[in-house]
Amino acid sequence: MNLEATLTSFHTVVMLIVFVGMIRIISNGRRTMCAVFFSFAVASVLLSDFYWLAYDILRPGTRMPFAANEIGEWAMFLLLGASLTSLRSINFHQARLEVLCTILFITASTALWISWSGEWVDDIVTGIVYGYFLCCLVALMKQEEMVPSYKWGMLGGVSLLLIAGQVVIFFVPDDMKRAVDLFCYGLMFLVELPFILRAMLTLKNTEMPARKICRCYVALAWSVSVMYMSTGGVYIVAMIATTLCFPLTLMAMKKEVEAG
Amino acid sequence: MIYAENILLCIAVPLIISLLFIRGEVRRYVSAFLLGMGVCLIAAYISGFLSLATGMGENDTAIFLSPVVEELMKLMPLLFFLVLFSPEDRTLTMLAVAIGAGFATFENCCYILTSGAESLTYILIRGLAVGVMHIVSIFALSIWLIVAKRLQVFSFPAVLGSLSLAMTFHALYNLLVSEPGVSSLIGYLLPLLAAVGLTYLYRKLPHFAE
Repeated sequence: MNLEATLTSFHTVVMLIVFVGMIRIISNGRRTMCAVFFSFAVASVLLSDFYWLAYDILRPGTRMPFAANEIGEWAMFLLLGASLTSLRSINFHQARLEVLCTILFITASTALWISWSGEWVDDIVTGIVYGYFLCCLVALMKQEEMVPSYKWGMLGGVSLLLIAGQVVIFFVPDDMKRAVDLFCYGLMFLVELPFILRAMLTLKNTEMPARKICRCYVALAWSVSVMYMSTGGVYIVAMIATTLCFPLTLMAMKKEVEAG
Repeated sequence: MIYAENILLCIAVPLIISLLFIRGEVRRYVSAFLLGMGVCLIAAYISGFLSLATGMGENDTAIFLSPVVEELMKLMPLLFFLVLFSPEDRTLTMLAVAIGAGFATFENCCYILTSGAESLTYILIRGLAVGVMHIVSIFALSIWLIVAKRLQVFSFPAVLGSLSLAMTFHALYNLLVSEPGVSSLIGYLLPLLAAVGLTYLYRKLPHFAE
């Protein structure tokens, strides 16, 4: 079994555990539409993983002409976004600037994905659905006043620097590419680490459950961004980080359901 | 090559005539059944067109494109009914089941005419798997629509997300049954397992709607 298949198998097992955990929570909980949406999102990731593994076993070494497992990922983003809208009524007008910056970030990211993979349709659809999830998350966080203004500025600055770095790689000489690449990876994980730590810590503090969910989603969203912008060993680390975010969200969901 | 539209006409005409003599829910069921068969034909046309446009083979089209087209086409009439007529929950689930059954029936008819019906065992397995597959996926979607509407979370992303989930499930089924052996067996069991799982979840539904 190759490394990618091993990693996907690990991811599948974790997702299976999270899915069973969610079913148990739903079975015991009340008024848990957010949890239902999240369970469906987990189910879609699980199906996507099964599809990938089945394809790898049945048709090893052949490229998918149309990546059907990506539909599962699109479903995940849409359902995660829908879970946020079921958590609170989101007012996008309150966070116009943040949502606009998010749209710019996702547009630039989509352009980069297309230039790397050449898969126009897949990348554009992924950009739209991922963008929807990010916009919901950003608007809800602004609405709940979870992040002070200076941190929004820092996040915007880092995102801008990251996109600029990735664009610069196309134009600099080969010997410079590696340095810029390393800088981008460093920047991505510099942000990733506090996001994941914050998501872990928030599970223990007395913050409202809805906020806990948001913090876990932030860690997940950034991990996915890092994953989509990485390759090789860094991709593996980003994938492990993404996988880790799901059990964290499961725990946050449990608190949300318990709170009623 | 089979003349699918001729086959559809042949099966549909007696059902259309029967509509003159039946009333109420039965009439609605038969109409939706006919609609399901029509939707199946249109889905086959679209898949055929996409197959030619993309240059994919028959097998690749069935694995990669058909699940997307078929699930989307099955949802369309259901969504149309829901948005325009706001039917009762029971009526919507009944329509969903009828559309799924019509779809599966016509697909099986065309399959039998193309590949033959010599092996009774295989035909039974296929009939059961395809029947359960199409009915379960559309039934689950209808339940999802009802719950989403009742709990006021009915939104475009929520519908599209669940549709994508159904597409992935269908794609996985098509991929597994495309190869003979253990994978086929797992593929045929998949809709049945999903049916059991959904029945369990369905029982929990009133709990959500409280």
